Amino acid sequence: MGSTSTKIKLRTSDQKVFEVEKAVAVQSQTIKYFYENGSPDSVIHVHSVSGDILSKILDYCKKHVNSAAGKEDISPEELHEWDANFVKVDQNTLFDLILAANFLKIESLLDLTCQTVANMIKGKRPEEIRTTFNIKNDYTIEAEEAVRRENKWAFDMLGV
Amino acid sequence: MSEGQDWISVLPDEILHHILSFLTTKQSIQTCILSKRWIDLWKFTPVIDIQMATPYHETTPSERTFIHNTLTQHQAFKLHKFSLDFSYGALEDAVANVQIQHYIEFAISRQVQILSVSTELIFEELEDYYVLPNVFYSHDNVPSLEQVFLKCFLFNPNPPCDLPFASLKALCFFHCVIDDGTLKGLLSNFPVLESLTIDLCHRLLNFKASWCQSMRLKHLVVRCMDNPGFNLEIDSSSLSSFKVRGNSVISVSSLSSIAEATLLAREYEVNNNGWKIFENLKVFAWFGPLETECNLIALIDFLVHCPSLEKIEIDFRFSFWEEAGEHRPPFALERPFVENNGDGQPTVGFLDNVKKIIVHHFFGYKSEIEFIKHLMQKAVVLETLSLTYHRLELGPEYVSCGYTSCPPKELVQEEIFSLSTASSNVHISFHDTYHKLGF
Repeated sequence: MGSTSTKIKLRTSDQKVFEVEKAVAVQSQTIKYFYENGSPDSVIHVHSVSGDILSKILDYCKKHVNSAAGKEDISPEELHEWDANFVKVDQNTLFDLILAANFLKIESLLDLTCQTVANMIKGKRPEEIRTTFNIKNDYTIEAEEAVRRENKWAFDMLGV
Repeated sequence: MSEGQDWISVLPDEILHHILSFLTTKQSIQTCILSKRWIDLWKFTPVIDIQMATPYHETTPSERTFIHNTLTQHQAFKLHKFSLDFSYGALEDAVANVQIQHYIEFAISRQVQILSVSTELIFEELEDYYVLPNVFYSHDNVPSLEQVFLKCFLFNPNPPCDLPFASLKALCFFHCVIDDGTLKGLLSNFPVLESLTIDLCHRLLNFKASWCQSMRLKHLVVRCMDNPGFNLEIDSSSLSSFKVRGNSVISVSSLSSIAEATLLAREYEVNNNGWKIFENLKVFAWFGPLETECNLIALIDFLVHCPSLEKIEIDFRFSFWEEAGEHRPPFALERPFVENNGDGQPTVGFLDNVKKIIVHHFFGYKSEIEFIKHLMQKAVVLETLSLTYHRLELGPEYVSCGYTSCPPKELVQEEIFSLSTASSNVHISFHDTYHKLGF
């Protein structure tokens, strides 16, 4: 018993309350900090994270804690595949996950989600990247030309 | 959720920098054209990653301009990673050396944590390698340096290395030109080093793991294929794993902590402590040929002295050359070597904890099957035997030289599945691959 069964209470931005095993919750450096510096029974308010997103993030933490502790027999490849499926979500959710991982300070999840976005950029031309993320090109034609000219050295060169 | 919304551009700068850090620097810079929001983002990414070396192809002027402009315009105060791969080829030596000094100086001045600089091998002569600039040692401003990878550099003797690299945990020298004394001197300056790789370094004739004065050295990889008479001593007490490859003489001592070993070597010897040093070894991988009975006996002898062993991985890829060209009679595994640890004492716990045996490049030759048969008879808790049968088809030029093909899959498979096993619960998996040799 002892610390493994300790629960931490979290309240989300939409006032949902989660009771989470301590080992899982402290994957978040932010929660860990609040837990260690507050009274043990108090509810920690994760004010910028919604219940839906927190629930997904806790799934992630649980999976990784269990596999690291050997509670779940899962190979590194299988965990990698689990991660890959975890980030197969719409962009809205993906960017919410990034913001939440950043706020909660869960480094591995921030890396996973940011890498996912980087992969969506990789190998695409600027126009394709704009389409993928609905980025509105707010340069005037002249301004865009100027930016292109200034950075010609980075656009012309092949093979890097 | 509304379609067509731009979720990415509203992220805070620090997150966008983090996203860009997963891209090459070239692609990262090109995002400046997306919209005004993106114009300067690349300049603050904590990673610079420029890979432009193609073997035997020197860096073009436009690529040099690219490196120059990137370094001039990049504005992050701190870099997590600086990775540069290039070759200057025919440029005047002096010019190239100044450029390299500039690059390393840049990285060091940005308090880089991971430094990786590769030059490509264009010259054959060792004297023509680029000299590692002294600025590398001026790290007193960089207590941050944690990982270093250097490829194709020449180390001048007696480097001005006065201060220890206080946070360096991982170091890899690949294809570098460095002599024994210089390496030994350098290795006294890494007090917290955990992982050391010396890969194909020229001019090195000896290496002792104990040169490294870090008490935390856990992982060691040494590969010295071509240095004749290369002598390797693995004599560091903190090591938990080592990998060795090369035709070197290896000697091993006082390694009670070793949990993982990979050997690819023709000869090895052990000090007076005998084999007790491997009592904690859990994983053992062997990539050597079993060309003679002697080798097979040595290997089994080795395993006898690893009572904690849980996993054995064997790669028989060299068997073909040893077996297929000669029609040697299969040898018999007899005699007491498997029951005896060399001191006349009976062996306890031989293969008692082995759960998994993995065999790569399994051709089905007699010696291979004998070896596996032997392991299966001893491993009482074995759970998995995984074999990858490698079917080789030989071109006529091999056949005419007297090489014979390996036994057919069905025959080998049948033989393997009919082996008797000490463990009642073995799962045998048998895969096959195909490879044609010759025309």
